[in-house]
Amino acid sequence: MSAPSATQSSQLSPGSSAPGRPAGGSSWFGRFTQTLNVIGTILILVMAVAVNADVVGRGGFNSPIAGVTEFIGLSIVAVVFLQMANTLREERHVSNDVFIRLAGEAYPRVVAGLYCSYHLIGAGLMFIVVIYVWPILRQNYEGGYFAGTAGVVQIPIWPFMAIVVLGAATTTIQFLIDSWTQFMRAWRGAQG
Amino acid sequence: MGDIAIGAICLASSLILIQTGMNIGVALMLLSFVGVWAIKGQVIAGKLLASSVATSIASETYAVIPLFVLMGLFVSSTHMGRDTFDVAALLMRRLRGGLGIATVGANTVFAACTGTTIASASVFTKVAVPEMMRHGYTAKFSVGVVAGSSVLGMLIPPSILMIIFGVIANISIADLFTSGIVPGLLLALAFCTTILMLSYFLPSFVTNDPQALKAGAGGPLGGTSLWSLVGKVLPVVILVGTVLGGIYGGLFTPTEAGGAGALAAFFIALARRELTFRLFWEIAQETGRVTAAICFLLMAAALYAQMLTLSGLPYAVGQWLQDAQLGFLAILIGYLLVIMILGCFLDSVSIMLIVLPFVIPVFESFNTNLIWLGLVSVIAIEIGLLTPPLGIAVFVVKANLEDQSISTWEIFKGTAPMTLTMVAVLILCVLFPKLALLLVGQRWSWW
Repeated sequence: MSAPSATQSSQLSPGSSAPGRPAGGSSWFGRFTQTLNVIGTILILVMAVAVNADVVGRGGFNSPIAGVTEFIGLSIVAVVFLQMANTLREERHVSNDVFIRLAGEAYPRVVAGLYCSYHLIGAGLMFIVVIYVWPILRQNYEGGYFAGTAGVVQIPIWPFMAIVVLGAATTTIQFLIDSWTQFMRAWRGAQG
Repeated sequence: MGDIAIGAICLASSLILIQTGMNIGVALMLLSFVGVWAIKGQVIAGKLLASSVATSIASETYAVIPLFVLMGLFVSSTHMGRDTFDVAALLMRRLRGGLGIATVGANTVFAACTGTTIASASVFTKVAVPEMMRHGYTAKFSVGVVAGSSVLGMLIPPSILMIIFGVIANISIADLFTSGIVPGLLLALAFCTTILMLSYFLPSFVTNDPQALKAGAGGPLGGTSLWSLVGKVLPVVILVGTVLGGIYGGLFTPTEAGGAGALAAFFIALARRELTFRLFWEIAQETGRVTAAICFLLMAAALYAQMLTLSGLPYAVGQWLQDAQLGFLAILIGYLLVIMILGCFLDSVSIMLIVLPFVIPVFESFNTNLIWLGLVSVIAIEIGLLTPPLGIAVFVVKANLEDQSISTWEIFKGTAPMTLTMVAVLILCVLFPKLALLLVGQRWSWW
């Protein structure tokens, strides 16, 4: 991989990787997480352009663009959930695996079992997120709530909440897949 | 079971889960959810969880994170770091240990274009370490200088760590950024002094070959024209001017400075003909992943802070500290020691997320200036990045080294003088709050 991945810009975890993930991306689910990632990436670029347009509009023409602030606030949440599953798949979430990696060299199966349960817990948490954000989505959809100033710019909130639900559901599945992978590793280790 | 006990148990279990490798955001969010459930019941736990996810970061302020990450990635995936280093090496070639000082200087400038220590450490490991070793510097000194000076990335604005402190403490990110300028320059100067002293008084630490330290030795640029030098530094100057000038001059909010900086970095990379579409797309995707990772932590931290408040644990700790009659200085020293020690086994963002909800109310009761507190916290946490066993800056240097025969332990030994220098600067900043608050235009002192 070229430069950006080599820079490891996440200042948080230096190349943390649970050992031996199967090459992802070829399955339809892998492609789906990639699609969400692409949409999230485009949304980031749109945000960058919107911020600049707002600055230019305000500074150059003394007319800030209505709704940019609200749009950006909602978008950042959407970006996080669009990228969440893919970030997990690429093992770029923040974890602290210095000690567990050492343990993994001595007891690979025990550590695989531990990761299996941790990923399962992660799936549980993301499922809880789906359950509790769902009512917010429904409220916003049925109530037709929007951000912005009435009569000027109205940005409906529900699509952003729908993205949260979709992203959390996708991440749930990704956690389940990861958990299964670790389970198989713990199990096969027992046989071989 | 009392609410305070619930809070304490949740805190302890999340620390255990994090230490055993659980995704930090998942651990914090889950145990906070369980804690709120135990204290207030399932309905409220669910509501708070949903609002931490859906609304806690839904504000324009948080867009500062992807924008500065985007800018930093543009800068660090082009050769702007190398160019800055080349020019600094040329300028410093008459000094003893000149390449070391050049590394610090280039890192200082580079820090004003990126928000993370990791970006600085990885770029300069590739750029400066081979050059220094080729000129006869020891491996441990070369890597030590790079790892040490990379902490400037978090101190000199923009800084992801300051953004996170500002968000948690609910204070102005622009002021925090501004407060880092003077201490950042002071630290850079202190690093240079350390390097000079080492090359005069402990040359065996710096080089195996005494000739290498002679004036005039070294520097990748010989006999280049003035114009090409200007061309090499101009892009960096433009970026620094846009970001720092924009914020300090009051032209931009930090979010706008991030947007303008990202755009400027994009055009610079384009003008340098270093930006292919493929690279551009990878940078954008990487920005997304980093943003998701950091923002998920912030969501978890929002719920965690609410859980703690509901449990009354921070209040109890504050009461206990007051009853102990420790006084401000004792509490401050205790706090700084705790975060430095935590830095040995937690990453810097997690330390802030976990510790700040406790300490901010305590320090507020002493009328502490939170901007100054943020600045000294960032320095103390960054010291943890350089100390074993979990010196993340050191690991990044190690991961980016071409010469893998240099052991992690060697790197830690090499950073030791820089770490001590940081401790000295931290003490100065604690003693003289003015260093941080001068440019912010606030007056406050604890003594």
